[in-house]
Amino acid sequence: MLAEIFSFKKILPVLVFFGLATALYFNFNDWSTYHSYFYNMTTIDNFSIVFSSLLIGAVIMWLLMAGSYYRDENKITDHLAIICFALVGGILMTSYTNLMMLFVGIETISISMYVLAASDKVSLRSNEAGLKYFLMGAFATGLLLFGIALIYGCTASFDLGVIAGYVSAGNLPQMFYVGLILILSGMFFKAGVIPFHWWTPDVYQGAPTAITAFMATVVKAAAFASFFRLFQMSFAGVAGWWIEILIIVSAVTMIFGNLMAVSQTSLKRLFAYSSIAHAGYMLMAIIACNDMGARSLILYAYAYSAASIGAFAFLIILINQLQTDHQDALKGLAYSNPLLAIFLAVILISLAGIPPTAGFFAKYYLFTTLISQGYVGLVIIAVLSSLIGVYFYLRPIIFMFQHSNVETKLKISQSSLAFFALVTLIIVILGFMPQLIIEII
Amino acid sequence: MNIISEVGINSYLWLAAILFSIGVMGVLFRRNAIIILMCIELMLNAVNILFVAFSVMHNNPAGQIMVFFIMAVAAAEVAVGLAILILMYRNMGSVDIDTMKKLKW
Repeated sequence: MLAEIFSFKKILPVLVFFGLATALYFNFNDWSTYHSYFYNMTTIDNFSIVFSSLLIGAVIMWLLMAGSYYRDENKITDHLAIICFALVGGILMTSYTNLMMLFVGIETISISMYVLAASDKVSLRSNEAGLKYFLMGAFATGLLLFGIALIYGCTASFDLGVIAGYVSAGNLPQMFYVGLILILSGMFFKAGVIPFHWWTPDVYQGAPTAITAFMATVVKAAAFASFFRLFQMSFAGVAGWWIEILIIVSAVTMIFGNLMAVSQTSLKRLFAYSSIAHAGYMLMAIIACNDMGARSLILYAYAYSAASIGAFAFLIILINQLQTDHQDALKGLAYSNPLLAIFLAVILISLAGIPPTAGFFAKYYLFTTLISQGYVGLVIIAVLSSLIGVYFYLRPIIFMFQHSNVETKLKISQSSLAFFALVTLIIVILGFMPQLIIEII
Repeated sequence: MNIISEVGINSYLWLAAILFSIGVMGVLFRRNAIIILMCIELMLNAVNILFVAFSVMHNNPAGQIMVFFIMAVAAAEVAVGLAILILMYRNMGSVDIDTMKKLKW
């Protein structure tokens, strides 16, 4: 499933497609087998299988979408290789049982993303996004590593199970808590939540759109999978201590992300802020910190990834043809491209969390999980902030139905229409049958 | 003879913490991207000192293996970072991070 061949430029995407499909098949072959690899440093369990299927599936969708973005074939070979490296990092992040593997996974995905964010060599914006992402990312890695070092100093092991044993034995030294805070900061950065979110809008806007789509789906899902795994498997014993931090952070992140998105006119930046807000919702699943939380995180990650890959696919077409991502460009779209407008509307409705789409049931399941554990106040804040979200997600839909002097007319090929239909189908199917994902683990 | 028992783990902890803080301060207050890059390296090396010290203290080799991982990753990171810096310098003629103002709001 790795990046292999650099010749055969024409057939490379097809080859990678089939490679990924094979990887997906073998991934499901391991269902409920609980293998350990690399001297117990990674363990394949059902949680990691579901998440790595999400990552592989998202990369397959990305591949289908990016075909229209990469006209220049010299570029796509390099990008595909780096994307596959990033995928390996992401899969390590979903299946690690050792902090060493967590570090290697995070760095594999991050370094690939630094390169990709800066990959538009002549665009100043892309350079700036790459440099900002790199400097902040390397800084966050330093924090994460210092935290890991302090935890290692207490427990003398990188193994999640050993750390969990140490935690449950009680009587933790001060150093352990300092390490925990530093690890939290590092993970907050990678997941793009407040107070370490400043890079997100800049990087999302500056990076090439196809890369932004990859960041918003694969990188985000991998970051949350590793976040959840780390805190459920090793720090659940001191949950009372870090949950209060997470509650505040998640509430502030949701409110801030949604409020900031309201004032955006650039659609790319709007989706960047909306991804911050969604990160706040996904943090709620980590607060739940049990099997219900895992299920709601998985459902949420599937719903969010499907919708945002569709949204970014639309942005690619828009930016390619009109050289702008201003929301005024949407005016009259419902009359010139009715089918595309319908698909986009479903995607936005799912992001806003309105039934009968996947986004609604993901939020619903998440909120009921949290309420059953007694976090009513947090759920009220979440519901209120998603009401703000409804406003700015529906605004592009209103724009599409407005008449204007300059009617937007996009040229859409049959294959991209089929892609949008596929995304919409996934969203609607997950909306009507969320138990497909929920009851799987 | 275990050197940690002679010097005491606290001294190593303080040394690493001070080096790390110098690195953090450099990242936060310097405006030249190359110096920021060096400060990040300083942070990572402070972590390396800490890992080796703990590894000797616990008599557990895993910490030293981790140092190899960190060194390899830091090298890869610096290679990518310098490449991005060169790109930046070619396009803007400066590596001052205050010139990065294309992306706002």
